[in-house]
This record gives sequence, structure tokens and C-alpha cells, in this order.
Amino acid sequence: MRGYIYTLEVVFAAALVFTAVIFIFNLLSPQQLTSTKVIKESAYDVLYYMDVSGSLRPVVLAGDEPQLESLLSKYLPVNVGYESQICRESCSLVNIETNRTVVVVDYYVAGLRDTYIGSKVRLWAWQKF
Amino acid sequence: MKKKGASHIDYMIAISMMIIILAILVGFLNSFLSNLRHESESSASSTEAISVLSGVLYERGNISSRPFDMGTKAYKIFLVVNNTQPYYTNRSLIAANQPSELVSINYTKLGYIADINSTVVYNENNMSVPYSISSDALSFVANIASGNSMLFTVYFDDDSNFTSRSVAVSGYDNLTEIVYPAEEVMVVKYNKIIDINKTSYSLVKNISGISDFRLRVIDATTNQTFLDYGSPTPTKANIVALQRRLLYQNSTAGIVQGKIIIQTW
Repeated sequence: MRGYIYTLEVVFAAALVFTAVIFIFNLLSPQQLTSTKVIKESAYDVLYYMDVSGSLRPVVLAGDEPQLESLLSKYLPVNVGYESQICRESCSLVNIETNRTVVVVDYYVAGLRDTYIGSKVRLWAWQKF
Repeated sequence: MKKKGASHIDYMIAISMMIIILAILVGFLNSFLSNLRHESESSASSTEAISVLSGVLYERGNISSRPFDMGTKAYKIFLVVNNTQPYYTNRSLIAANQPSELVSINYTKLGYIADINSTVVYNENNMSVPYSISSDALSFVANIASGNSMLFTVYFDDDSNFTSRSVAVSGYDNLTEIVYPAEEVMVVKYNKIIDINKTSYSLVKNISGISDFRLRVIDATTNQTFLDYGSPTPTKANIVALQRRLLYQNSTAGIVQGKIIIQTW
């Protein structure tokens, strides 16, 4: 009889362990990895598009961050939150989402036609929902 | 009399608890596996969509090897016409309105072997400017007031197949233009769009290895669809849709601001 009780205890314990493991795995979403990649690609693609379509360099030359963010809001997906800065060497971390996975893209802009700029656009992006 | 050891009731309670836990476990397991399957399908579809979008501006093969690599390297030249005294070819002239200033560039002198029929000229308002082209010399006319300067953008490709749109232009060359070095610009090639549109869907699916897809190229300014290729979007499926902004060539070699949308399922 004691053997049956041990068996039951083992089954009971194993079931508890399995339940816990599956519960924990349920909480971890593998989708996150894909989303991060998509956001990073989107962020770079948007800056490249703005560059080749001619809107990025004048904005960077003028150091016009509100205009830069206005353009970004037109082109980035609605579920992507972002913060951008035009800087040279060090960029300050302001208004960055702290509770999300944030990707950073740097896009260097050397000049506009015959004017030297030597700046970069730093774009922080994250998934809003 | 006090009974020692487990009774039948104890066994029943233990077995019941175990059945309940097993039921919860099966429930969790079912939900977990179902989520995993959905995530796996979404992830596969996402990977396919990302791969299409990230490769779309590459120029690595033809329709039978890499059907979604639709890019081509085009070139962009900025040209500034400045109607002020220092830019007059004859310094003795006084700056005046120039209604027919003839602007010319020579591709060979710039060091490029251009496919001349792919040339397109835009003014500052992104309006196409008529031009004349002969051999490797491009000419167009600018109407420029005294003291003003105008920016023109010339695009050309080196491996396209467009029909000539050269027209006769005439004017006087009074000003020296500033010509900036050509910049490389990756755009979606018109010929590749035509190629994919002519190729059967099943063949493209087989070559690319993508399960099912729909690919659209849309003019971002007018929102008109330029290309709609692939299977119709199903009403019920796990669909991943991604979008990318890019430039593409239209049928007249014009460089259009567009977006490409890929749906996979």
C-alpha cells in the first residue's frame, strides 16, 4: 500500500512541476524577437527612404528635430513609438521608453551637396502595443 | 479505535486531486502547443516577409533566381542654376531674367555610361522637366529670374530599357551651372516589376520558397496601386503584413515615392 502512495506522490509532484514549467513558458512570448527585428529594419528603412527621397539632409543641416519627428511620424508604423535626435558624438537619453525593448539606429549624414554636416540621426524605436 | 495509514477516502481524494491537476496540465499544454503553433506560423511568415522586404532593393539576380530582388542602382545628380553675376559666362553682361536658359550636361565628361533613355529631370517642385538628349549630352531649359537660383535633380540608370522621351529644346546658354557629383540611389527597377508581373504565381512561390503571399507596390503620393501580384488575401488566415517605403521607376523612367506591402500567410 505504501508503494501506491509513493507512486501517487511522485505523479503529483511531476504534475506540479510540469504545470509550473508550462505556465512559465506560456508567459514568454517568442513573438518579441521577430517584432524587434521588424522595428529595427523599419527604423533604418525609414531613414534611408527619407535620405534618398531628399527630405532627410536639409532637416539634419537645419538641426530641425521637430520637423524630423514630423516626417518620422508619417513614415513609421503607428504601433512604433520613437524618439529621435540630431547629434554629433554624444546623444542624450530623453523621452525614451523605459519599460520596453528599445532598438537604436544611427544614420550618419556627411553633407548636403557642397555643405559639410558631419552629424548623425539617432532613432530610438519600440513597440507601443 | 484510531485507524492508521491511508483509507479509501484518502485515496479517492488524492486521485481526484491528481485528475484535477492533470486536467489543468492538459489544458495548459493544449493552449501552450496551440500558441506555439500560431507563433511558429507567424514567425515563419514574418521571416518570409522580412526577407522579401529587406532584399527588395538588392540587385542580385533575375526573376528565375531571386524574384523579389527588384532593385537597381540609379544615379542622382543635383544641378544648380544661379542667375547672379558671378555665374554669367560673359562677365560683361548685367544680370537679367533668363526665360530660356539652356542647361547642359555631358554624361561621358562626368565619367558615367548612362542609359540615356532612363534620364528624368525634376525641378524643385518635383515636376518633370522636358529635355533633349543626343548621344551623351543632356539639355533642358530653365526660366529663371534675375538674382534667383534653381535646383534641378537629374536621375539616370545604366541598365534599363526605356523608350526615348527626348524633345527639341532651345535657348541661350548664358549661365554656368553648378553640377554636383552623382549619388547612387537604390530604386525598384521597372523591368523587374514587369518581369514579376509576367511570371506565374506558382513559379515565384516555388523559387522563393514562400508559402503564400500578396505583393503590392503603391504610389505613396496618389495612393494608386502600381503592382498587385500574388494570391488574393484570404478572409481567414494568420496573415503577416509588412510595409516599406522606397523609390521605384515607373513606365516612363520617372522616380516615384512609393511603398511596398507584402502579406504572407
